[in-house]
Amino acid sequence: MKEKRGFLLRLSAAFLLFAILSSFAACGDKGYHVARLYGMGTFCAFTVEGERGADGDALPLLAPALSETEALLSHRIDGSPIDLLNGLDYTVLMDARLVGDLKLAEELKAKTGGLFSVSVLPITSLWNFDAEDPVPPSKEALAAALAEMENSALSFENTLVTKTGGDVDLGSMGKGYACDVLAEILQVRGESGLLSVGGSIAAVGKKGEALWQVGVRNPLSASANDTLGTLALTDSFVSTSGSYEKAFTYEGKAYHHILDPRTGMPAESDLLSVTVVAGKGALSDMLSTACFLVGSEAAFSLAAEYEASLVAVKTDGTLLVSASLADVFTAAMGWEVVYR
Amino acid sequence: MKQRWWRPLDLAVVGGTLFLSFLLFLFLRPTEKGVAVTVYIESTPYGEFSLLDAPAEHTVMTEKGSLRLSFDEDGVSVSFADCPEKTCVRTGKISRKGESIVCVPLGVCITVEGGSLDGVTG
Repeated sequence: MKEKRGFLLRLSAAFLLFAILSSFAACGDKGYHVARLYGMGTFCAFTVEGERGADGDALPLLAPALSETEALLSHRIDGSPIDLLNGLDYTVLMDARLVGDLKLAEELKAKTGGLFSVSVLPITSLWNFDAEDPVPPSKEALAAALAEMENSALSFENTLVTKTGGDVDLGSMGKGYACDVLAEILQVRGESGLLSVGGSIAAVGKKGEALWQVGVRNPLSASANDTLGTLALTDSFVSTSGSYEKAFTYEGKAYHHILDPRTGMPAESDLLSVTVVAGKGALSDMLSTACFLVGSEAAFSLAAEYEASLVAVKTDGTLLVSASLADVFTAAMGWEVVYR
Repeated sequence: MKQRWWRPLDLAVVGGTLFLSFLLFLFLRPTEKGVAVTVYIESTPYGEFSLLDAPAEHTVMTEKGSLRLSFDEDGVSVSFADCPEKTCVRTGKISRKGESIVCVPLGVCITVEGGSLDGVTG
């Protein structure tokens, strides 16, 4: 009888201890702070260790690195390496990382049969999705832009980059590239953090003992806060391409910003959005665009070639997830996952 | 007489533990609904608002245009914005920690501080 009572008391004590521990665990991580900045034409949120402004805060290093990355990649900034490449048809890039990622872009272009390309400024500038009142370009203007893009290519000799055909727009890799640069700063300092540059995210290390929780936006919802599931990540990079971003309606027809370089028109994909989890930021960013463009059938094998995983939503609402994410992805209520 | 394996005091201990756990859960769990709303214009915090002060309206003036915030007991939304896309208006009302409304053309971000998600991709 005493044994039973003792068991009951021990059970109660254990339950109390569990309740206390779990409640404290739920109180949140006080070892991090969130800084919000505007850069690369979007809002960025950096969750980094320590208190803001305290000695050793990584933010004073991250903010200028973001500006420098924008100055490196933007074709809109006079005298930037990409502006020079577009103006001169050749340039010497001192940044080995960028040369490597441009080579990767050309590789993806070959693998997608030209569907993915960074030599697309003639059509992206024509559509100008950032304009106050965007309108579809005329057929004549589009034909001229496509003619300009014929036989587009980048070639490399060490760090000398030569361009033929269409001018370069790095919109499909810039935010992911910035994640690579910023993540490296934390990695060198031996710190962890979650770095969001628009929809591209670097999950560096762990949040204390926990994995970083990254929501995946529901492309069927108008709200950017509506998520279809959560990725639990460490040391990974995530990017998403979706037809809901930068879209406009003109004379009753909807146009989205992911363009097919062969036609110059918004791509007719069977996907609404593709989220890529990969080992590098620029890779995840470029793959998200490339996978959207090639469609659901080819997307998963393309991602697998780069050891990347996908969360993709088809136009019929089907949620496809790479089998490699089975332990990483948790679907929100109401979503049924089809693993590929 | 058969002796019971529990006594009234055992029940009191178990009941007390459950009650205490419930109280701990109630007071220490992260509350989903946020109160503090921070508005940023580009990288600069523009102001902090409290949902407890609702109903209220506030117009944020930026160099690129203006945006009207409407606060009520359910949250905050953008009721008007001088931007072409109106994505911020379509986002609707936010009230939970970690939720944001972003207006890229005007460079305005409205966020309910905190939240269980560390980030959102999309």
